[in-house]
Amino acid sequence: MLPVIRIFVPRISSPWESIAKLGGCARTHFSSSAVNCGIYSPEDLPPPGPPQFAPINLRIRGYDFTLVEHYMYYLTRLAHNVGVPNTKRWATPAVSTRVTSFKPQSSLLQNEYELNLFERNVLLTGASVSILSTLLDVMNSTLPEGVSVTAKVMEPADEEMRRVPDYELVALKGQLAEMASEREKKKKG
Amino acid sequence: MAAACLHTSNPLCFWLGTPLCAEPLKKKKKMDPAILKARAEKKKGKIEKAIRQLQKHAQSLKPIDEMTVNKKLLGEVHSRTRKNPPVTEEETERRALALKSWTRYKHYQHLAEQDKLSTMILSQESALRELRAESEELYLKAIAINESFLPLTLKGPVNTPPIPGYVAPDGDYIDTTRKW
Repeated sequence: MLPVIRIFVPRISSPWESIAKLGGCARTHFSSSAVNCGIYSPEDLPPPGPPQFAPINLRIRGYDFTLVEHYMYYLTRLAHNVGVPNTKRWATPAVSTRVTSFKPQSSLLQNEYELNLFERNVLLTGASVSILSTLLDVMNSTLPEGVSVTAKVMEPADEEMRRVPDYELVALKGQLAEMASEREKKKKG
Repeated sequence: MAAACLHTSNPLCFWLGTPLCAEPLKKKKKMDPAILKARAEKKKGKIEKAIRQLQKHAQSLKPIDEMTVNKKLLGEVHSRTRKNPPVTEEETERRALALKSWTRYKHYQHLAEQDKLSTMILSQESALRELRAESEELYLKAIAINESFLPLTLKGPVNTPPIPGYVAPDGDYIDTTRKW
């Protein structure tokens, strides 16, 4: 029995979109010239297609590491197939908690557990409303056991949280701020 | 000793200590304001240069504990690797056939999922095209960006449902995450 082979057609709805995409690609290499490959397009036009969301950060969190990691792989593949090719993914340090339970009517320890809440992130750039709604629907039905996903707009604080704070830099900036405030005080007084 | 404390007249109470015998303190000279300003500018310049130097080197990322291997285990790699007996031809064939059938299963699973996804997306796009033909205003409202539903949290299912009338024991949740 021959298997039925279905070919997935890439998501380009109109011929104009494909040409505009070509023009857009070429434009990134030659930034000053407006005529590329015989196609003229003004430089300050918005990109073609429906309006796009700001970069959305999907935070995948759960206590089971395997599920969290593999769901991250699944979501990046899904995003790529659905029409959001620019997806970045990274890991955030886990949040570890020590959970203790006491014996009834006393403060003697009965159980003690060390739990780690693992986190992985997927960044979707350039998703339109229809694509995002599709993705959220699929996520709702494919979420594995004990894993939760939070979709939110990407903030610089999320990127800062991944990095080790540079205390020297902070101290130097503090010194500069102090000097500036002293000078202002002298000017006033 | 007691007699030293008695005075017949008003005492001046000089205390002949080391500070009195030493040289008088020098008067603080008023610095030229231009020189002071130049010094302040130099100091500011040095600080700014140091900041630029630190910012050039990319800040290091916090280490992910679940991705790092225990150093002790890394050292014991040689003693821990097993020397297995060679695999028989039957076994290699069995493994290859199992891998093939797994690949085939996953391929069909992927195709089925792609089929569903493409149906969803294409039907959405045809609906939007029809809407655009019907009325431009409604079409623009349909594709407009609306971030009011973010941040959105979706939770996966749980293994066992919550026990009705369950009284949780007393306890603590202590955050033991490494602080930077």
